Amino acid sequence: MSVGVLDAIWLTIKLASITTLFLLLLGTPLAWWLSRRRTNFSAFVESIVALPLILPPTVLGFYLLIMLAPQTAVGKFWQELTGSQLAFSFSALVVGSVIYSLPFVVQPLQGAFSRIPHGLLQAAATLGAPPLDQFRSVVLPMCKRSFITAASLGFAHTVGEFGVVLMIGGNIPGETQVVSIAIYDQVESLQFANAHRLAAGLVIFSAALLFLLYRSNRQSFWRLPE
Amino acid sequence: MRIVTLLLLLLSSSLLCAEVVHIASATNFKATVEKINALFEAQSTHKTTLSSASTGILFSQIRYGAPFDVFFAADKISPLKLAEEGHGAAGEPFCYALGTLVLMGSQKAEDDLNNPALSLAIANPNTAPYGKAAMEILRRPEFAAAVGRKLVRANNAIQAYQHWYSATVDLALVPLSLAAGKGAAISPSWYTPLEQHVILLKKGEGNPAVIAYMRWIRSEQVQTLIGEAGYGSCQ
Repeated sequence: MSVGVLDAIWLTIKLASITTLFLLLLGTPLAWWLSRRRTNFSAFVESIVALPLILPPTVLGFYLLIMLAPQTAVGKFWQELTGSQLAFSFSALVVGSVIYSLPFVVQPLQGAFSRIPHGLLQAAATLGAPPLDQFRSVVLPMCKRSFITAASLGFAHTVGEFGVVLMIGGNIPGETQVVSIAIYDQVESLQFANAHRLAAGLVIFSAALLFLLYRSNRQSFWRLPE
Repeated sequence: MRIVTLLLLLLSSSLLCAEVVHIASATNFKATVEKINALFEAQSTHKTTLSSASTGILFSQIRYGAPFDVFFAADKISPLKLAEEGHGAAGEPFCYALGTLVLMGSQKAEDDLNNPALSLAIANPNTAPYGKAAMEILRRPEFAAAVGRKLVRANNAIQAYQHWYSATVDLALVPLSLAAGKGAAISPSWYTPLEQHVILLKKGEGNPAVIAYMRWIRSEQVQTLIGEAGYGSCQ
């Protein structure tokens, strides 16, 4: 394998890992809030979170590109904060991926959180557990499976991203050229053998991840009927 | 601890080779840039990276702040406009190659371009200069009979070639540099000359690797290489 291909694989793993971390940090409180509220405003937020499922990546990519450009407020702020430019950088890919994969993390978590009986948390509170402890001792163990599902889907979906990354990343080797873009690049250069290798690798990786996920969900389902 | 050391190593390795030239190239010139870069890396300590897309796409990416040092366009207007808007470094954009179109899948362009039964692929005229030149040819009065033909617009010049290569279309108007000796010649009088210009961008200003690279692409050796790849010389 050439250096370029290894670069692309490493970049993809790095992007998916960092994105998943941010998704869990952001998605967990958001999903919790959504699962506890039934107002017009929460329904509005819920629909915004779900938008990337419906919208073509070009729409998101287009708006992100306009938003992150160096001459915009966000772009300028980032430049002053870090000293480097946001658009067409790895950081821009993380921002785009977090938004793009958000529903894949929020939705399983929200579903799991809303199935937790209110009484359980009240009982924990009566026993003197502060909110963070309630979350750690009650919510986390009960929703472990959903956390694994959410993290896996967030990771896999980020690996499988193309349109957004192409638009805000711009196909720069070693910086923004992830595996999906590298495949596109190789098909364009008529290097079909290389493209085949990467594409097949991606199919096997994705299928294996989903298989492991569904298998573990099924097993625990039979062991712990709800 | 071991992971931290590994991460530090990875970070430092990317810092050590900081003298990198980031190049953006129109797709028609990609294969040639790869050769130019390989020779450049072999005779200096500098590294290069290469991104390719159609001239129009790279043009708008640069306007939105894409971090390229050097941009090989397939036309004259895009680099000039970038320079005018202040994206260029000191020094005017200059012509590095003269592009030529050929008709793939044909023996005689005059006949096949006038045959509405043959499907044809061209690069997107809105973003690719070679597509724009192809449209100029198709709009000529002598090819009016074929106006209703199936016309496939590819993203860029290489994709137009690919459509012909994979036999999804009968004909393709592509750069001579992609044709590998095949295809029918097109009269240069049928379209505006494709004076391909290169621009040194602001991002590359003062970078010794970029300065060395700009000197390198003006060298005799590179000029010969560009000629061998199927381009005419400027002027």
